[in-house]
Amino acid sequence: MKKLALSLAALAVAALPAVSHAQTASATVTASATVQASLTATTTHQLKFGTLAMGASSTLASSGGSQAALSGLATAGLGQVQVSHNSNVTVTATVPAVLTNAVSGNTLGFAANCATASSSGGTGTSVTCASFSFNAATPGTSQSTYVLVGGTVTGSAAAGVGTFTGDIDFTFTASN
Amino acid sequence: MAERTGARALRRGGGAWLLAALASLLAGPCPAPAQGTVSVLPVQGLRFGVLSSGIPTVISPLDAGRRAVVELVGSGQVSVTFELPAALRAGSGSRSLPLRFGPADGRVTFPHSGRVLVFDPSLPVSFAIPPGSGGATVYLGGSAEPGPRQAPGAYDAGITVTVVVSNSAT
Repeated sequence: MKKLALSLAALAVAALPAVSHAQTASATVTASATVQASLTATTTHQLKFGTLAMGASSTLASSGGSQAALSGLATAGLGQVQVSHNSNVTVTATVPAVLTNAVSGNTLGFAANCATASSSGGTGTSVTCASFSFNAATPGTSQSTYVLVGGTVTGSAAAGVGTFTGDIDFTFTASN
Repeated sequence: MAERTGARALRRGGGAWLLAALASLLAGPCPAPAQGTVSVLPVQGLRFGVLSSGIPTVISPLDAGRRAVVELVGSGQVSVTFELPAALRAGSGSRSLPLRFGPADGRVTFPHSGRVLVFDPSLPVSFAIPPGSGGATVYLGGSAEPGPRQAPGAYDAGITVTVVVSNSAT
């Protein structure tokens, strides 16, 4: 009988499956990258009002029906900055309120008007010079946008004669 | 002697022992030997940094500053599996930056023994962490392959590490 009991016990043990224990744990780490934008800006034309009569004012429009042509070596016309970019771009500009005669120190009143175009000297879309933006048609694909710069110089006989100049500083920033 | 056969035998001597043995076996789960436990601690992500369009970037699992790092704290027989994304995503997910993981981009180090295990992170890897060994550290490298017209911007993706700690007892 003892043999029978031991056999039953052995059978019972054999009939039970092996008991497995498993613990699962997980965690997540982040993979990251930043693809930098391609952005260059080149001044292709200076804004030139040409020779004005003393006290005379002049306006060069960068957009609209009276949009002026780009300046030449010796001809008045719009300024232009060619921007090559593969992302959206935001722009700020610092525009002087006057043009200054470096010799006499006299000034003429000045205001700028700006526009963007998809081709050099092309039809301008008016923007506010101080702050504006333009987009990449296809992000990642390099393309050019042209910033056209016109303005109004207010004549003043009291300013006398000479060459009056001022700098318009543009800052271009790639965005997404 | 004949009286100790059949049901009566179970009420005496060996019978009682048999019942007790069966009861103990069937009453609940079998007690396991010391159960291994491992905690998974993410330490560092896989940092590709600033990339240029069209220029692939490779991060070695030996690159301390950019590789992904996961600490395994505890002991036991473990199986580690990575869920590797095929690409990083940007914005709403419409833009992607392909990733690639090679057969030597996974690496495990055991701080106490100095042993190093190189593995393919696209496949599960199993190893033992002995008790008192200080755990193990898992490193992951990989490659990012921005296309020539890759849109600028910030890209990311999650990499999930799953660790199964297994022990078996009968």
